[in-house]
Order: sequence, then C-alpha cells, then structure tokens
Amino acid sequence: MLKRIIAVLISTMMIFSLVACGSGSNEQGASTEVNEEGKVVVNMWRHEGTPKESEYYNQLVEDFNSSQDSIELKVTSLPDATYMEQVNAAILSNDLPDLLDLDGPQMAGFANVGALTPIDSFISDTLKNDLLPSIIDQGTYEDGHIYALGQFESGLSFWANKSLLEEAGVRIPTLDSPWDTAEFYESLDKLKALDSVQYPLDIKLNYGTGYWIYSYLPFVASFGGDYFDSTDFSANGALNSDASIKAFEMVQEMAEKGYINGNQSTDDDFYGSKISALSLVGHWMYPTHTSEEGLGEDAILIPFPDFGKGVKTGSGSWAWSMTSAAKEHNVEDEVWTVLEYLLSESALAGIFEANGAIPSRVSVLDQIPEFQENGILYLYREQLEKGHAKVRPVTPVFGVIQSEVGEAAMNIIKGSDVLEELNKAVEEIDQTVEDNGYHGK
Amino acid sequence: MKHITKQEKEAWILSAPAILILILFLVIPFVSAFMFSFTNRMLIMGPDMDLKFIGFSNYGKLLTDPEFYNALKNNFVFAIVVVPVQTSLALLLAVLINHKMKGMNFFRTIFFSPVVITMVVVATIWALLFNPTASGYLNVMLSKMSFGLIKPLSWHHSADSSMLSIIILSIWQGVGFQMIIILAGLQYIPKELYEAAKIDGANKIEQFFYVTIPNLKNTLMFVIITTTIFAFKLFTQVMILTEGGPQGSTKTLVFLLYKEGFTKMKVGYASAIAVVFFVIVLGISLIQRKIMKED
Repeated sequence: MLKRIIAVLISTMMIFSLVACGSGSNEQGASTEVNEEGKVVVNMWRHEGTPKESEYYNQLVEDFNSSQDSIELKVTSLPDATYMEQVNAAILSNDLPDLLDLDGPQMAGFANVGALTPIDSFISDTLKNDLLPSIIDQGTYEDGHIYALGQFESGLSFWANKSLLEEAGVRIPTLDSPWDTAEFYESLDKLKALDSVQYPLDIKLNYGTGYWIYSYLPFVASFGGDYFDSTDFSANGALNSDASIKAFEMVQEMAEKGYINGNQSTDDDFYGSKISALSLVGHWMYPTHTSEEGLGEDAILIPFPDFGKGVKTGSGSWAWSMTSAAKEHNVEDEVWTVLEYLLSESALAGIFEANGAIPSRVSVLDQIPEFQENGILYLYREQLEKGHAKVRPVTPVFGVIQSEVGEAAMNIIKGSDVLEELNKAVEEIDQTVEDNGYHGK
Repeated sequence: MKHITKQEKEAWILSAPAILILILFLVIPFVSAFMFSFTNRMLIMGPDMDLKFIGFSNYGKLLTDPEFYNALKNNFVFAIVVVPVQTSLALLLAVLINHKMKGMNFFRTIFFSPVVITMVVVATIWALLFNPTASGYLNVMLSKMSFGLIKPLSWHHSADSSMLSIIILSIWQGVGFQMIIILAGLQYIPKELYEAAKIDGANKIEQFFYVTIPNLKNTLMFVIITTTIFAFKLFTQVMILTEGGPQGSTKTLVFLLYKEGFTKMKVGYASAIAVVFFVIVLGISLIQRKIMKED
C-alpha cells in the first residue's frame, strides 16, 4: 500500500514539474524583470565574434553596470555559426532578449515580422549628425523607421604583405590608381613566382559558405553585376547576369591556377605561415595582422582591383536593435540607455582597439590617428567617404541569398559549371521570395 | 465489458508520466509534421501571410527536386557501406574480446570509448585529422606507412572522397556500441554447443559459422536494423565537417530537412521531407525484418 502511494506521488510530481517547465517561459511576457537589488534587468544577446571582441564587450558590460545604479545589464554571447537560428527560435518561443546585435542586412527580415522596436524617437540630433550616413541607411527599414544602429562600419579590402610585394616587384596600388584586371593577374603571377608564396591570395575559404555574401560582392559589383535586385525583388538578371558570371568565372580560374587554395582549411596563410601575400579579409583582422607574431608593420591595406566599374568595397556590419520583448517588458528607456552607452564616444574609442572597425561616429574617427591621412587604416575611411561601398541586399530573404550564393561559390571553386550553379541559386532565392510573399510593401 | 483489474489501473497510472512525455515529444510533433506538410507553413509567418492548406504540392515539389534524389543517393551509399562494414567489424571485435583473459576488460573499454564522445566533438577532431595538406595527420601517417607511396589525399575537401571520410569517422565512433550488443548476444550462447561441435570435429572457423552466427541471429538482426536507421539519420558529421559539400556530395536527407526548415524557414516543405523520410526508413526496416525472419 505504501509503495503504491509513493509511486503515485512521484508520478504526480513529475507531471507537475513538466507542466511548470512548460509554462515558465510564457510568464516572461508580462512584467519587467527586476533583480534582488531592485535594479531593472536588461537582457542582451551578442554574437561571439573574435576573442578580442569578447574581451571588449565583457569589459564594456562591467563598466556599464558599475557606472550606474538602476540597471543591471546581463549579456549572453552565442556562437556565430548558429546565431541566426537561435534568434529565429527565440522569436518563435517568445523568448527574445531586450537588446541584440544583428548583421546589418538581417534587420529587414526581423523588422518585417515585428520582432524589433523602432528607435527613431530616442536618437538625439547630436548623435544623428555625428553618425556616419551609411550607418543610418543600414538601420532604416522600408517603413522609414530606424531599427538598428551600428557601433562600427566595416572595412574590407586586401591586406597585403609589403615586403613580399616589394620582393616580387609588384606595384602598390592606391584608391586613385588601382590595379586593373590585367595588372591584378600580373601581380598574382609575380607573387606566385616567389619561393615562400604557395597561394598568392588568401580568400578565407575556412570561413565557410556564409562569407561570400560579403567578401565577393565588391568583386561582382566591380564587374558590373549584383547578387539581388532589391527593387525587382528578384535575383534573376542580377546573380546570373553576364557580369556576375564573369566574376565567378574569375574565382574558378584562380582556384585552377593555384592563385587561391581551393581546399583551404587554415586561417593563418597570410599572417602565420605567410604562404599568402594578399588576404581578402576585413577590419577584424587588424589586431592580428599588425601584431608582432603577425606581420607587424609589413601589413598594409591596398584597394581591390578595378574590374571595369570602379573599385568597390563592402559595407555594413553588426548593429544593435531593440526588440519587441523590450516593449513587452516595459524597459524601452533602459534599453536605450544601454544603447546610448554602446554608442558613446568612450565605448567607440575602444571598439577600434578590439576589432579595427571603423567607429560609426565621425567625432571618434577624427581622434584616431590610424584613420587620418597616411594612417594605416585610412583606406577604409577613404573608401566609405568617397562612396565606393556596395551595400548588401536589404531584404527579408537575405539569409537565403547568403546561403545560396555561398553554396554556389564553394561549388564553383571545386569546378562546377558557373552558369548552372548561379541559375540554381537564382531559382532558390526567387522561389523563397515567392513562398514568403516578399514583394515589398 | 471487461473489467480493468486493479493491477492494470496501477500500470496505467505509473506509466502516465512516460506516456505523457512520449505524447508531448514524439506523438504531437509527429502529427504536427504530418499536418504541416500539407500547408505553406514558414518558420516565422510573415505579417501578410495566412496558413493555407495546399494539398500535396509540397510532396510534388519534393519528388521532382533533384536535391531530394541526391540526398537519398548519398544516404543509400552511406548505409550500404556502413551497415555491413560496421556490423562485421563489431562482430569481429566482439568475438576477439569474448575470452576470459586478463586484458579483455581493458580492450573492451578502449573499443567502447569513442561511443561516449559526443559526435560533435568526434567530427571536429576528425576534421583536423583529415587535413588535406601534406602535413595533415592522416596523410603523414599513410605516407610513412607506405614509404611515400600514398600521396596526400583531399579527404573531405574533394567530392570523390568526402563521403568516404564521413564513413570512416562514423564507423570509428559507432562500432563500439554494436560490439557491446553483440558481445551480450555471444555470452548467451551455451558452452555446450561449442563443445558438441568440437566433438563433431569442427575447427574454430566452422564453429564460428555453424554455432556462433545462427545463435546470434536475433542480435544481428537488431544491430543491422538499428544501424540502418542511424545511417539514414546522418546529420551531425555532415553539418560539422562538410556542410553538405563539396558540390552536394555529402548532403543527406536530414541535412536537407534542416536547410529547408531552419535556414530557408520552409517548415511546410521540411515537414513533407520528414514524412517521406519516415516512410522510407519504416519501409526499409520492415523489409529487413522480413528478409531476416525468412532465413
């Protein structure tokens, strides 16, 4: 008899605990979270990024929390590779943080489904006038409201090993006098002739499929092509245009000729083993490249070649957004306080040290020697200010464009037919536009 | 009408929590997948979209999609190699360590240890071992063992050898599990049968084929069916090592399902993949069972 009672009790407890777990997450919707000291809690998510970035943000959060008494900022950092899946899952389970960072173009998709709260009303005029125009553009959705503000703009160009270039007799190009297609190939040849150079160009295949949407768009644009037409809501005629095809044929040729390593799994071909003289990577490698174990003063920036339609560069990067959860938790003001702190001059001065990115405020830019004329990172600033940036497609199907272009590019490098791969990608992208009804408002 | 006995009532009450969990995590998702496969459900429905019943159009799209057949082919290739090879290897290992000698526990632990390492870690480490350059671990080992005859292989970087790489690491991880199950089956075989066979003049090999194998039939059937099911569920290794590449040579059904459902957010279409996957695996298991029972 006793055994039976115990068994029934245990069963009931288990059922109750299961039900309790299930309903726990829905309770969050109702109220503001307050911690034991009476401080309002703001939950923030960020993508992990590089170790230096993590260090920077952890310090920032600590500084913020100790600088004031009313808000406790709790930050969770999530791995890059599955960051978007986790955010999507959070939207579905009604479990979003109050504040999170998103890669610029992702903003459109989330604003579209109402997961973000507009922040225009919070932005002061001083701040608005001080931010780089591309930051405001990146954060503005079709409905005219601002949903995201970035702490930094991205810098994308070739990192070059100055001594190797000099040794090979390669001319160092400038933004006013870039390489053209012919000189680009010539330079690759000369570099490959050096003993220490195995693959002249490190194209970062180890980053996986997700990198191509950003890294190769400037090349495609310089040939005159594009990935997606945001006014037509279609990839047909853009991704499979003659110009785009030419651009991808070039990268296939580079793999065949051994200018790039088609099987690359290593990250340090440029700065570690130094078997590459050029690297197609952005600002985030600045600390590593210029470190003593890297190339020190030998690491310089040179512009991409002009393949016909001018030198192009990438634009846009991670930006911070206030979510709909902030509205539900009634912490919009507190979240803005955090955002304001993230965009403050002191915080932005530090972001540069962490990832070499271009701080989004002109007042901060002017104070950093590296970004002044003759500074090592001046090219990044010059490119943006002179309008060479090619913005990635701002559309809710951005994720699919990224995945399809990346897969096509990887297959092309392994030798698949260029037109076939691009057409396949176009079909997938347009089908997704169709399925989701993303024909714009 | 039959009265429910006191014992039956107790049985229902005690199994209630387990049944609840099964319903919540198995039955409901299963039924949902079945239902969603007939709709246009996206992971996050756009603000202007309504959930519509679209009949069999997801299935139509799936059965005319070359990606589906490519994934199916990859799964079959994987299963056809892994099931016999891994089972035979497991059988061999089980027979080897089925001796009451001193070091046997040690070897049993060693052979079983890969099983307890989570597949994510296994795949990550093998990604390093499979480094395609001349200085990659496996390439160096092969080269030294063959006195330089074997040149560095591209492993998972080439469409020809990518599936082979995944097969190798999967067998490495899984063989210990099957081995333990077969070992249990071996220890059930009565000693007298072996003695009788020896008296009849059978040598070790004949004993193996005429005593061991027939008595292991049920165990082997279980091992083969479960290995087949696992082979069709192939996902983690692909996700970590190759992302379905190179050139789609390692895209499997579950990987396709993940890409369609979570990356492209097409839950309706992914549900159709899930249902078709279920039917295929169920069909194969039933066929296997029939074949083995008939022997």
